[in-house]
Amino acid sequence: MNNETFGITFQYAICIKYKLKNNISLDRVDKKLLAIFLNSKIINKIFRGKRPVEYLSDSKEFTSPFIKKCPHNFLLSNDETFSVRTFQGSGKMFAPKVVGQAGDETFNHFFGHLSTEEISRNNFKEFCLNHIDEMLPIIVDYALVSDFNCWFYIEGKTFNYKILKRDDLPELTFDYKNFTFTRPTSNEWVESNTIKYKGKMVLELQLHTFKAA
Amino acid sequence: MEKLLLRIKITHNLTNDDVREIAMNIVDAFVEENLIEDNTDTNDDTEFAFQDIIHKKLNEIFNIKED
Repeated sequence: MNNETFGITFQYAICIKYKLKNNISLDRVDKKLLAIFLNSKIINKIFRGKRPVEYLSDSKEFTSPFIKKCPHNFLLSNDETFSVRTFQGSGKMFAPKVVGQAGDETFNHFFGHLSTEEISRNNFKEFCLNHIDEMLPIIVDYALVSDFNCWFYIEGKTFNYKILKRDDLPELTFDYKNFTFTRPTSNEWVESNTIKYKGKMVLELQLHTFKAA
Repeated sequence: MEKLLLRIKITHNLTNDDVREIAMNIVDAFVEENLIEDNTDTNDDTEFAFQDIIHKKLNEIFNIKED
């Protein structure tokens, strides 16, 4: 089963459990997995002390001209937002919502203030190489965009999860000198570059040659 | 086959980034042909899912480890 089916089935199970209106097509849902989710206590555990009252993924709430789709999955009874990200295993990378797959305009909207000139595909690589310490806090901010961010994954045959609370996110500053790039110059960087902080891989940057993003 | 793969690896000295670029280009071609939806400015991870599968498979074939 692919991660999309895994993720949407889990979201659908939450909607069923809490009787939330949704437009999820049953074609996208794995019935066997749905029964497993509903018969397990995992949803109760995840939402202990929190009650989802609205399914937000389909809604236009929390959107803007640069945030076209709602970045949150659920609204809680206390008006806080909740998102679930599913992984088919632990330690996987993902694209943060909103900024993770930005086109030219969106990228400039969220990162343009870090540059004196408009960021285009001609200067994108130089911009990233020179401003990675300022970019990463913005990227992390959108990786944990909801008040509660649940990372849900399978380990062996067991469901596991971690909930990261946005309020617990410390003020992040990164020292430029601790960054290293597998492609340290724009000439060496063709389309893909792996960024490490203190030797640990934290980010992949991709510039698609054949796309407008 | 193994000899051929070894030769490819030695000749081109492929890195993990190189392989990711190959995967990106293959996925971009799928998008170009409308076989996969363009995920630019969306929260949809489908393109990355395809890219990761191709990347992982090629890394296995070329015996390249992710960083």
